Amino acid sequence: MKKINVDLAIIGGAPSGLAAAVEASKKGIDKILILERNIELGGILQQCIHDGFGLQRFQKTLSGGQYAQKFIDELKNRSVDIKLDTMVLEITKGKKIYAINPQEGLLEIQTHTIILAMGCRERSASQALIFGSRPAGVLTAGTAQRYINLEGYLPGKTAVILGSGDIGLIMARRMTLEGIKVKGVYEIMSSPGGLTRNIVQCLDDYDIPLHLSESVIAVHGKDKLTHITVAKVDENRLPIPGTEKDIACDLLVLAVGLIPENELSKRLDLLMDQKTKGPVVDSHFMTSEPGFFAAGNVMAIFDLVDYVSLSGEIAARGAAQFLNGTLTGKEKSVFVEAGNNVNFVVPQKRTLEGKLKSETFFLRVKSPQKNVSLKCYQDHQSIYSKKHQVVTPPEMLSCVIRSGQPTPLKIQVEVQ
Amino acid sequence: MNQKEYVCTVCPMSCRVTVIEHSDQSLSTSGNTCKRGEKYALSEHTNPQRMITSTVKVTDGLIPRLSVISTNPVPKKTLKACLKVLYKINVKAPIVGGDLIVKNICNTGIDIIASRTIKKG
Amino acid sequence: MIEKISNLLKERYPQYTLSVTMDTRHIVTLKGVCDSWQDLVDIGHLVGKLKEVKSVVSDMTVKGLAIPQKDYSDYLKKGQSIGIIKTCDVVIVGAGITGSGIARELSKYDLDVVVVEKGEDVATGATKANNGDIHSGYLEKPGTLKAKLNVKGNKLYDQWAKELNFNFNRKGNLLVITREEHREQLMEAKARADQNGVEAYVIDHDQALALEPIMAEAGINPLAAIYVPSMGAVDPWEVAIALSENAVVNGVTYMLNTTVADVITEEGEINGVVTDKGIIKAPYIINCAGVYADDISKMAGDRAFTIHPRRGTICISDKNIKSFNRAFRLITPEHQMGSQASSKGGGMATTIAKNNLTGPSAVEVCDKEDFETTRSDMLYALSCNAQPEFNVQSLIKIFAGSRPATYTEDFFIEMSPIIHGLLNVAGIQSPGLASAPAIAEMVIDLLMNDLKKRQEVPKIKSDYQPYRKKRIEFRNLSRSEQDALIKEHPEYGKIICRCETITEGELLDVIHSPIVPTTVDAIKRRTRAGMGRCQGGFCQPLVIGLLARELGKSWTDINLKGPGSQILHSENRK
Repeated sequence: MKKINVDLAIIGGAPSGLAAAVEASKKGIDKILILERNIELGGILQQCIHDGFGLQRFQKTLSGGQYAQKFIDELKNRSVDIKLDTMVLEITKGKKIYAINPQEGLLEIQTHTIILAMGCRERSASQALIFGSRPAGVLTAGTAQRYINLEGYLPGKTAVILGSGDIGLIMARRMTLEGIKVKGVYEIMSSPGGLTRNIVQCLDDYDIPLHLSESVIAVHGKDKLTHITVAKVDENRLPIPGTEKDIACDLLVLAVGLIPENELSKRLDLLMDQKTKGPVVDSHFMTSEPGFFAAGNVMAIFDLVDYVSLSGEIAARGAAQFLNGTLTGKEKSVFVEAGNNVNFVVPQKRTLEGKLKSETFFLRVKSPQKNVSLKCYQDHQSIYSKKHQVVTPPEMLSCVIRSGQPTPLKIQVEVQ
Repeated sequence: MNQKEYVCTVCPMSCRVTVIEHSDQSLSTSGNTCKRGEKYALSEHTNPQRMITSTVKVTDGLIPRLSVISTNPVPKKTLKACLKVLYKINVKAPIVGGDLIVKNICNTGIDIIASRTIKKG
Repeated sequence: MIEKISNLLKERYPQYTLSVTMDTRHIVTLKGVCDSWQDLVDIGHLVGKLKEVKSVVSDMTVKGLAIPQKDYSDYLKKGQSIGIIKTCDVVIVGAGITGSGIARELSKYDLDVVVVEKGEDVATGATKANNGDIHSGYLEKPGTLKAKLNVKGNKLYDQWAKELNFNFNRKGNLLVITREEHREQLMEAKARADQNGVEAYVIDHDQALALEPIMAEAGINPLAAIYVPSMGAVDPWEVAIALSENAVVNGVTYMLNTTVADVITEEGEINGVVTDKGIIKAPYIINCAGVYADDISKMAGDRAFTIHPRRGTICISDKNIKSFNRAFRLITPEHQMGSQASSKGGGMATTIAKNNLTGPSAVEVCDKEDFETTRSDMLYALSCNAQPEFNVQSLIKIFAGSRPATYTEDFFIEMSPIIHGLLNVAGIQSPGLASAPAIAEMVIDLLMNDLKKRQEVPKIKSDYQPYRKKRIEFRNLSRSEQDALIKEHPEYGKIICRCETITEGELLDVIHSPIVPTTVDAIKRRTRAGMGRCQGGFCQPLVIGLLARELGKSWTDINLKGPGSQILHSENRK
């Protein structure tokens, strides 16, 4: 089998991997290899034909593909190796990667450092506890998006969407523009899962009703979907008997959650965070295994691709320091505490080692609040405070602090 | 005096801004907490605009659909007509991101360009 | 006897007026109206359990309930207008595990055999919806046909697996108690194993932990257990597919998407079947039609039994939940055994691919096509599970199927004494999968005995090929084997299903196999593509593309599981 030696292997050539590759190249890492299982770079961005990407980073409203192209173009000027159509089968603790592609067969790649950038997958109908029959006509939003945007097929004529996260809202508009009648979007929580901008431009613009605290509880149809049953849900998100309603449709689109794709990480026995479903990482986005870094959706589900790229860059800088010995992962690290109204924070740890100009944190709140301050406390002293007129769970927050003491940090939301 | 309410999408505040049409044709807003919200609501009221993002059929390429995007937002009311034009379009690979697909679509003054590259397949 | 039954029914169900008749074969027919489907089934069971009763035909109805009946009229019209398409020696109705096993065993004889299957693929009924247990037979009621054929069939699985190269492991099972008050059930089970001639050992705490160390982290402190070494596991559809492919290679004709609408008889002799694809003339029909076996038997003129479907739901976990080594059943207050049985059975198993599997539930339903999952079924299935990590969050799939049960709850296998040439193989619920080799043996004996009487004993084919080559499973090859394979056939270097590591080469292998899979589900069963964590989210478009390309069809023609299950409606707006 073909044996390759590299300095940095990046698992995944989608937004986090691409940004990591560009940054790694800028930081002078010599042999960089991107391993991408798809026939082209960009990952899920290539099927995100809608705009809204890059508002922060580029001050432009780009489509997913346009955003990805910026990094792909940048890579053309850099000596980064890219293997497409290449699937990673196994990663060992010794940093050996086994991957395959049709042209070369099995590859044994020995690397010095790895950035895990595998992204995420969608929750399926069974996982969303949608009972009933299992006919054709039930698709997750990403799969429906692929059929419509990449392959050019419509998976139905009359649809219902479960889940008001951004992908559900985006698909409501996309399907409507392609002539599919979207009867409504159902959301099990009491507040929408996606950005207000999307509610307005995807639902209101097209008079598509949004039903909160209501979920799809059963699917009907022997071979093809004929109708679904919706019901209002209580505080425990269980259906309230007597509120059931049947809705005729031939397509049920599920936008019921994203799960970080950590099968390779789990086999490495990385310390995992039950909240994020991703690896526990430190200030350099290094995992519990020295030399293994993580970035993007594999670490925690992001909503802004700009932040995903940023996480890739942080991981790349960490990888560069690991390669030149500044970072060993052997020094103790301290935990970052998620305080009041904070659901999770990434990174979960602060490390003593390595050079960091600043520390970047990504976090999500538990519940919506108005007129609050996001604060960071170090040794009970407030070292960061930023006012937010509104914070909501669907909108990830980030805070950047000047590198401080490697003492425990607490990040929380306080009412002003 | 006519009035209409809009949900502002500029920032997560999502203010509900009411645009008031006065008898002398002038407009004012209420409910916004900043100037950007005022601007947004007035724009939505007088000339709502939207970006066009869609796909067109492509032959000879690595994939069968080319994603396209408008260079700027177009008037919302022209959206349907613009999409109708796009449904009929068939392009041939190779296509480079940025390639012009439709010039001045439906007389809006806005172009439709390829938002991605498709190599020959 | 009729009086005894009538009195029993009057005593237990005084509110109903029921009529009981019994023929010389001791087949009891019940008529009358009752208030619920459960009562209807319970009444059937009450009569069916009597040792003097051979079988129960139920013509009972339920007030206010329209019991779904399959309408064969359209199929019949089609078939009659087409006319005779074929003449053969034997028609097997149904290509589940039963029909497939019989087809394969029959294929060694110089006989023209046609298998007719209403589904779009083999194993689309109960065969694909069970837990893959190759039961040992130790718990079956001694003296029943089930017990006899299960114990025999279990032993024959090694040979089938060796010849047909399907995945089969024989790791045994454990029945564990944690409380002293349940010891009696353990001893009852051991006694039954002895009666059935199945090797079973009563083992202590230490021995149990040695066999199944994971119990410690699962919080199970075994007091004692029974270890039954002969229990095995398969992917049940894989067995049916392997049997069917071998049958085809040996000359059996398979007609899929073909529904039997009527049976032609002449003066008490089988003449053939009318299917929606035309009329097939044959002197023998082997009825393996699962939940519809009673319809087929009725069409032939021998109403010898009634099938009442019993729906079961199974839950599958993500592979990263640690699995037990063996099939596992824990006796708890909620799940008790034998004479104390209060639950509907079920247990835990580890599949060939090492997913945890738990269930099934058991619910009597009146619709033979009711394969719905419900929250309560899911909760029951999860309660059969002893691995605490396997909870609602870790499940990746819930599915259901229906057992084709008779009212005696035993197999009904006989050459009809009143319609010559009709061989009924009905009521094949669990342990049908484990019994399949023995069922096939018994059925062929019955057939051969009858052929002997006609002086028509067929020869064994000289070119009979019992061996089926093992399918390439890329994921199980060594790294160097993988490398060599890709270099020779690059299609194996392209991953289609990344959750299960299934390559394009493997999909092409099955598409070019003796029974061509034409649907997404048929591909799934043959390759595992779509059975992983994401349940086809990523690979379904790739599978459709591949099927469309290889079969020369358009994407919109490729469906999920047969006619009417279209996945893609149309091309994007023109």
